[in-house]
Amino acid sequence: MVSIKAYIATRALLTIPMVLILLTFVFVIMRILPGNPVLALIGMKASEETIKSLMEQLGLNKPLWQQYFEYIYNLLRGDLGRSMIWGRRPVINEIMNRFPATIELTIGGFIVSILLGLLTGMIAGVKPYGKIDATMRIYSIFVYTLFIPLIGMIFQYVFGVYLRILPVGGRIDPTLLPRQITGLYTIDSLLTLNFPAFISAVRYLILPSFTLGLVLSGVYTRLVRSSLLEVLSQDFIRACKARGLPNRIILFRHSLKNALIPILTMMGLQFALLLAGAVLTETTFSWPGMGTFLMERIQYRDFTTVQGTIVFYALFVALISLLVDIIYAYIDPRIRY
Amino acid sequence: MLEIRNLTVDYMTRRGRIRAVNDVSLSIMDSEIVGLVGESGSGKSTLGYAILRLVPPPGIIKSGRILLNGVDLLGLSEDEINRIRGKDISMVLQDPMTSLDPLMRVGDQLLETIVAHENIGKEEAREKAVKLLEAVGIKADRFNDYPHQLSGGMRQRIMIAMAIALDPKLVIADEPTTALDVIVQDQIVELFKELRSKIGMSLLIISHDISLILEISDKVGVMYGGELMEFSPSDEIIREPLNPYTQELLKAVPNIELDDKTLKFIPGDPPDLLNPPMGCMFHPRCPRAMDICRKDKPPTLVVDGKHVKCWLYSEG
Repeated sequence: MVSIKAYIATRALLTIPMVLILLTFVFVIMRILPGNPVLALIGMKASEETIKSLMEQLGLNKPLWQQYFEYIYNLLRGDLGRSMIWGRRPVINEIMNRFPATIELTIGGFIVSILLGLLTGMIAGVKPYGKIDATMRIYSIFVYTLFIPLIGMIFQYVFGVYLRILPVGGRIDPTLLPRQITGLYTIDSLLTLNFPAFISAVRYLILPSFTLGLVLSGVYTRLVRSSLLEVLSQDFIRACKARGLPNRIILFRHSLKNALIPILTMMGLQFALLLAGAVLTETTFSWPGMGTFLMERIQYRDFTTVQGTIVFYALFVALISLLVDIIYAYIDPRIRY
Repeated sequence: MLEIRNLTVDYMTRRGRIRAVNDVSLSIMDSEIVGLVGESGSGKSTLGYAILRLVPPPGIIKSGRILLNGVDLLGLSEDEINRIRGKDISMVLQDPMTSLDPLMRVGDQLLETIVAHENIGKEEAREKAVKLLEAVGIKADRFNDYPHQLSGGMRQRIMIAMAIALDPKLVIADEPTTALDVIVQDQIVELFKELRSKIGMSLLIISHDISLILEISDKVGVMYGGELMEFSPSDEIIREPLNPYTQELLKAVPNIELDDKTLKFIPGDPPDLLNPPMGCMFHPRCPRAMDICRKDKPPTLVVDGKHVKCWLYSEG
């Protein structure tokens, strides 16, 4: 088990250069873009002196390399700095206010995409090369081409406006807001045993999760199908059949578990895609998460907040992929020993 | 006990129909070891799988009957045949390295097989599983090992433990030693012999290795191009092989006691089953081929309990 610890330590160390490279990119790109936070705040008509004093306040008058290294220095001490606009709140607070909403939506979309992908992929893989298989393969390409805002609006119209069974925007009925612990309303409401709030949070979560999950499920359909086909052709499945094991056990206990190994890698990669897809979904469903927030702050050239958000995203994705590797070791004994 | 009558199995490939098993009849008695020998593509493995109705697609069992104590296995429903698989007839596959689920402890795979067929409690099944492991020469502390922690020979022992777990009437072993080294091969053969005398099951052993087959079997079937060329007691085959193919096969066995150390082989190639030759399957390579062999298929003749498919004996 020492090797697992060493492995995790190595992975954690590798995250540092990854984040630094990414951060440098964002730092440069934000400054190449025309405009700066001062202009965005007070407009083009402000006097030279006002602009100058504000630039000094924000440290934007210093040479670029100095700004860069000061930022890195603070970052290494765990300080993401303060926002460059409106009240100059600490970036970490700004992020923490919105990140849980995005996480909740991402996990919702993740679950939906996995369930849909597993279901369609399994249906296709168990009876390959037939009409059902062809239908599932068309499904996988079709959903992948869907545009999130469009499919989101169709869902809103059908389920929210026409059938009136689900809310079309927001995270929860504001009168039912649970006490904040993790910031994930579904979790918080369960932790405080506030069941009406839980039901409300889930109802608000359904449409955005399905919109996001549906689009990303197509990738899993194809992957589950091909992975399952490969496992089903292996000797040990034939050996299972020759032992007269029930089909249900062969499929779920032996085939799917083995087929899951390559799918797991994809899950880690998809999570990053989900975070990106969540931006569009949040906009469509007025979801108060990172998506709308980040778009806004990019427009205002709020350098520190944008940089901080990217760092945060990168760390989060690295954490997820580390988690995937640990789950790998848990499922596959050949890695564990 | 098991009787195969006029079994024909086809693979419907894109390039055409391949008749992998052609009108084969043979029987296996109680506690008898029957060996099936032939080169790759002779249909011997397909025959083995056909008994359990597990011929892989695009293969289909075209015609014939497979009677287990009088019950036709080909007439059973999918549920009924599934109750026979592993219970009355079990199978040991060729490659033990790939025949076990890599993600599951070997003991649990053994347990799973027992529980699938027998209505017994978990503790009882576990005791039984441990006893089985010991019966095939695996220590009980290997119960919680994963397949990759065991050697090839040990894995094949596990496969054999699974195959005998439910006191089957017949065990089909498809090339059970081919993937193993010579020393381990010998141990596995000994294990089979020992189990046969202890448990009294019948064994159908399939191999391309005629010396192995002759060593272990009571009766031997020789297959070529999907057809059963000869089916006789082993000592008869050694003493007086009837079919020219069997004769050539025996000549090709290396013998370290002979001075001539060159490797003997049968000239020519195995038949192309997409375009099988007219008449006897073996005639293009047969040193004793006659005119009739090129035109008509030989009938199967029974002479003193020996079955042979060859024109040489048609009038005798």
